[in-house]
Amino acid sequence: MFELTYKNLQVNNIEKYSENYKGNNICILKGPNDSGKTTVLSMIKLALSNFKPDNIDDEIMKEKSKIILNSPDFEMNLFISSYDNKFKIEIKYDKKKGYPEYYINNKQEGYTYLSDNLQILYEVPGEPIKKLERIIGDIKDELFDYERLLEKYRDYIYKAFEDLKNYEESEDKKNKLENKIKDLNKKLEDYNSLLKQCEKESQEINDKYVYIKYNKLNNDIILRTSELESIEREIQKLKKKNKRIQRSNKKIRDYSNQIINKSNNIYYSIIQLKPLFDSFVKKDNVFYEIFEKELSSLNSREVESISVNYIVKLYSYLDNIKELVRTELERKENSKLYLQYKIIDEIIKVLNNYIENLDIKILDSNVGELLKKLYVEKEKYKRDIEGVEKLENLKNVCDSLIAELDELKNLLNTYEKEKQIESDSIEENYESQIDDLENRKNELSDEIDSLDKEIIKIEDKYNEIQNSNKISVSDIPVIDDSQLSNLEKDLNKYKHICEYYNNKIESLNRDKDNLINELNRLETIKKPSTTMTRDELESEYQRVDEVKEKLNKYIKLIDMLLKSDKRGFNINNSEIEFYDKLGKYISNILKYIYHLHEKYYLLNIDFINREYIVRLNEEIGEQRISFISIGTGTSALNGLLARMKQDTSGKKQIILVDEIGDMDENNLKNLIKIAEEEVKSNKLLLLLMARPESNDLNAKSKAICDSYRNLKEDETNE
Amino acid sequence: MKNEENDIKNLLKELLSEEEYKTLERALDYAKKRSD
Repeated sequence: MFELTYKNLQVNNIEKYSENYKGNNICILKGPNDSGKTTVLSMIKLALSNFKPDNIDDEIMKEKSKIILNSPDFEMNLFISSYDNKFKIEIKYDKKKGYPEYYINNKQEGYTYLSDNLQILYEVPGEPIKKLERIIGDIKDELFDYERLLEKYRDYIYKAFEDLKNYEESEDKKNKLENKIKDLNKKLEDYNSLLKQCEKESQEINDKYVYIKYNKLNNDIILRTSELESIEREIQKLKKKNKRIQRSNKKIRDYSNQIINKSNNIYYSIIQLKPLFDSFVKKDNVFYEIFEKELSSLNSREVESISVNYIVKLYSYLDNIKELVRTELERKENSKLYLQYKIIDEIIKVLNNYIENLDIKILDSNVGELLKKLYVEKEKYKRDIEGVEKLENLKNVCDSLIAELDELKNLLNTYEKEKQIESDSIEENYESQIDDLENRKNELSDEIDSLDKEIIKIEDKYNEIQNSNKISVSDIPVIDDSQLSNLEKDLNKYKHICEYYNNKIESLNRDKDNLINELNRLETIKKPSTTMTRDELESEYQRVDEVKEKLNKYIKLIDMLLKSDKRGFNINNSEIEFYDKLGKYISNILKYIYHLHEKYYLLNIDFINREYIVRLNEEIGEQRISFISIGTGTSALNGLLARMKQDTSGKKQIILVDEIGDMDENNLKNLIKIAEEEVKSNKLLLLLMARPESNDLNAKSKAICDSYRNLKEDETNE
Repeated sequence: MKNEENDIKNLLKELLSEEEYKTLERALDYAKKRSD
């Protein structure tokens, strides 16, 4: 009896798999391809191999076993009992526990005990030739894989060679770059030292320059301030003068008014007194000029229109008249009539004085009488002396006018003088001078401001220089513009030199940075992990090609082998050698072939003559069995039958046969018949065979376990 | 089927020179490292 249950198997199409199989000692697993038949066989093989896939020879089964064990929660239970039910095996496995439990006849035993009591036979039937072809095909596939692998390896070697070359070249470049950087550093050091020296000297000159410049500016400020003060004083002076001029103008205006009034008064006097002159002087040209033609000049409203010449002329004219009148008067006053008249007049005055102030009674009547007589007498003389009065009047008028003219002349003189003072002032033009001075003053202020600003700029530096005593008093140069200009030139010169050094340093630093960048880039080129040298890599590359060529040649030779169905090849020695080694290699894998119920030890395969070179036992020497003499399907069956018949020294057998579809019906019947005998003798515990069924019929059905009918009947009978 | 006996390397060891075989082994090592 046989029963297998399992769960938690993780495969792609688990839904197609049944997890429970049960049958008697001879069973056929039926089902379409990929329904779990080989998996069931593998599971039993794995259980009987202590759950160690490495213990399994067959590659397919080994892979299946690995997949089974990859399922983390996989659990299985296998039960097999002998036909008479007296020998029972139970194997329990839980992946989580990690180890199997073996029970033989309900008693837990170790795996060794199990393997000591059990022989497992596994067979995939098929013709030995087919098997051989499959092995050769596998070899070809593997060679092909190796060829691909060699191609990849060759690429790797090529890359490693290129990387190593690149790395070695980069190392070389790095060395050169490092040397260049060293050179640059040396140059930089030199230029930095030169720059430092230049800056130091420049600084010294600058200190001197600042010192002198400061003092010069200070001097300039002092000079300008002094000039400014002097200008201030000058302005004040001129302003005072201006005030004086303003006062002088007022005087002139006063004089002018007086002159005009005086002149106008003289004019009107002359107009009024003109009749007096008419009667005395001759009306000649001079008279007309004086009294008519030029007289109006005195009636002007402007001083400048009053003719001084006329005044002089008038003055002189009046003086002449006055002289004439005086002469005439002297002549007339010296006359008897005039004297008489004067006496009478004097007596009248005395008498009138007497009458008004004295009270002498006795004289009253006589005095009155006398006065009457005196008045009559006076009237007589009056006509005679009338000319004298007129002359006296004229003389008085002349005196008065001359006096007026004198005053007018004096006024005019004073006026002229004041005017002269004023005109002098105007000539001096104080206002414009003041303006000029103010402008200069502003200029100076601006200059002082500008100098102040300049001095502020260098003041800190100057103080620093002074405090540091960098320049001794003896060094203080005389302030000299040429000296300052020379210092400026020197400063400029040093500035250019320092700039040159700076530019040089910047340029060198740029070069250095570029080199460092390049160096850093090269630093990223790591040494390849290969331990080979470039030469070794080169020869390795060539050798890989050679090996690849050889593999390719082997593949072609195998192709020839697979295609050839004729006896013999037209081949050379090296190809003979290849086939010989291939034959030995495959013989070593196959080890045995079964022929006519005999097991032969396989020594070699002669592909050229298509024969197996075998030995039955030590006594009998080498034999040759042709490929074609091994019948279809009989080899596997014969192999199995031969092994079933062998003495197992009491070991029970379990036979697993995959792909019995490759076996013809007669052979299968023969196998089952013998197996039945073995089951009934309780030597064979289980013959489990897998047979595929057409996919088309029931593509989705799961594999089932079909028990051998005869055994069922026997069981029923029993 | 693959065990020490049927490893194709055994065949190639016979077929290739010592140097060639060493090269092949290095190629296999390389492939193994890559797959690791």
